Amino acid sequence: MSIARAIDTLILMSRYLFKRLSAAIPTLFIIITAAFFLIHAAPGGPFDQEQRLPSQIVANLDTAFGLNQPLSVQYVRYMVALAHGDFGPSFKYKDYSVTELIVQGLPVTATLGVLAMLVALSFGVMMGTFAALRHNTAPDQATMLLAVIGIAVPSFVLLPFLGLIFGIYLHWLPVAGWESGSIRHLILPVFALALPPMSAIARLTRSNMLEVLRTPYVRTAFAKGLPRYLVIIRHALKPALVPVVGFLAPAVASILTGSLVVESIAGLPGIGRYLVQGALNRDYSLVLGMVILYSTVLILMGLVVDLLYAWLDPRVRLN
Amino acid sequence: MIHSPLLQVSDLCVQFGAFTAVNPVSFDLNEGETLGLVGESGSGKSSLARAILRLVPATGVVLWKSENILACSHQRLRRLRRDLSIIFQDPLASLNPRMQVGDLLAEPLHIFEPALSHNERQRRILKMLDRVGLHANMLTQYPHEFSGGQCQRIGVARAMMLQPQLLVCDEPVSSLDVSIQGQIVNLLVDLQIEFNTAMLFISHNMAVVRHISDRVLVMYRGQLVESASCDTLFAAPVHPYTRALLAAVPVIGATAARPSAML
Repeated sequence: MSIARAIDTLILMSRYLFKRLSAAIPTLFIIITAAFFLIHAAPGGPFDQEQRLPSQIVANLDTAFGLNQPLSVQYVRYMVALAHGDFGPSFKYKDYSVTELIVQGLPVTATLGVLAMLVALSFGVMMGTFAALRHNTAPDQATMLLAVIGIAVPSFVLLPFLGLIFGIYLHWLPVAGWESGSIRHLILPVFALALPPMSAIARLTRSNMLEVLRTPYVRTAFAKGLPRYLVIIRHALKPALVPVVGFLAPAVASILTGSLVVESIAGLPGIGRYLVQGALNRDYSLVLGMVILYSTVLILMGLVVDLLYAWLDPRVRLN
Repeated sequence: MIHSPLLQVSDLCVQFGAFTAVNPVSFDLNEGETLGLVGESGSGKSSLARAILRLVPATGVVLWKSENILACSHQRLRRLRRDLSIIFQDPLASLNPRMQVGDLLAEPLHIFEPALSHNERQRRILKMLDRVGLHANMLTQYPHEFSGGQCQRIGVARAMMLQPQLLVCDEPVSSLDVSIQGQIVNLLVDLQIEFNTAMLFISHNMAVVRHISDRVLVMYRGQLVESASCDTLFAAPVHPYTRALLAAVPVIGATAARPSAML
């Protein structure tokens, strides 16, 4: 019977995933369209410089990149190329395609982001639970003070500060650099990137855990004679995590935007800088490539969040 | 033959901040006995019940077989909980909404009889489920799929799983409709006789208390104002509050002929 149930769940699950992923395509289409016309509506172009180029050269470049054609034609050509998996050439990084740029930098940013997310989640939940169990005591207040600092201090202050202490005074960790992903080089950037979402998760977990600890069924669990850690793990943690799961998508967004600052300061060869730089340079194809990447990540995150909701609460049905 | 009481409560106080929920309260409970506890809402009945099982902080002495529940170590307390059981007022809220009924019922066995084989545990659960009048196919369902009465049956099954020697019932039927109330009360009484469990039964339903209790305690503003055998109390209440409480019981068909007693 349990095997039949498992197969049922699997079928239900794949049907649900298929439905959700096909719903993501129109969403992406709208995002790309809006981004395309917005970035083209911005004044200036990719070849504007302090020293104006001779108009003949600009005209030649425009012709080469197809910028002399009407916007609607450019749009259709871009979408057709995109449908074939071609993100186009970068306007600013000569001789590089957008795909090449992203493929080169993505592993760095992804490593940094995934590690930061894991750190934020695990430490955030642990800190929040710890504080809730010591409600209104000094350890609780100390943890929450730390969380407020974590939310308030921006990473461009935190990372140089940490580099100063752990890199320059104590000589424990390198201040910057990548060196093909050595752990020592990752520690400070990951921590700086993780701190704001970690602090928010800690505060969320604490307040929800406090609420859950007062529910009748947690009282029942204590009355059953369960040791405290089992009451927390089996009965209290799941419901307390529901709002934390809702925070996951904003947390990913915060890490994506944070990676811009952290990668620049720590000198990491990631893709964090491409979105802002691309927008400033009017590097149309690079901006659009980054928008597509980030939107896909966030849409997938939304899906993960809904699956987690169903796992955390059996009353939630996937439909 | 003289028994020493199973449970001896003396000078039990419960304080929530500046508010005193239970003023010094003392009483005994004997093996297999049913003690009714009545009083209006806010009189401290539930606080008293929870304090006895150390689910809320309290002062005083609660002697369980000559061991003070309020002073023993947390580990010792957890072991004692095998024999000390409680049923709560809100049947649905007291069951973890994220666990299947089978898992909820298996939990006490996992803690106190970890050596049990899977099959033996399953057999015990099914037997208890059948005993409280539920079907085996309900094991994989979640609490919200049941009615209030069924939830309270699950609560009873959970509480009686390890055949406790003391069962505290904290208004177990007050949130159920009348036809279901009788079924649950009868189920409790049957199980109590079967397992020889002592019971502290809290209710504001005088008829139910009268039906099942050997002795009755009356609580008012955190204090015990009267303690008497069931028959004595209902025949000749001594304390004015008890009289008022009994007079407040609605009588079907009564119009002007009701005795009026006010505090």
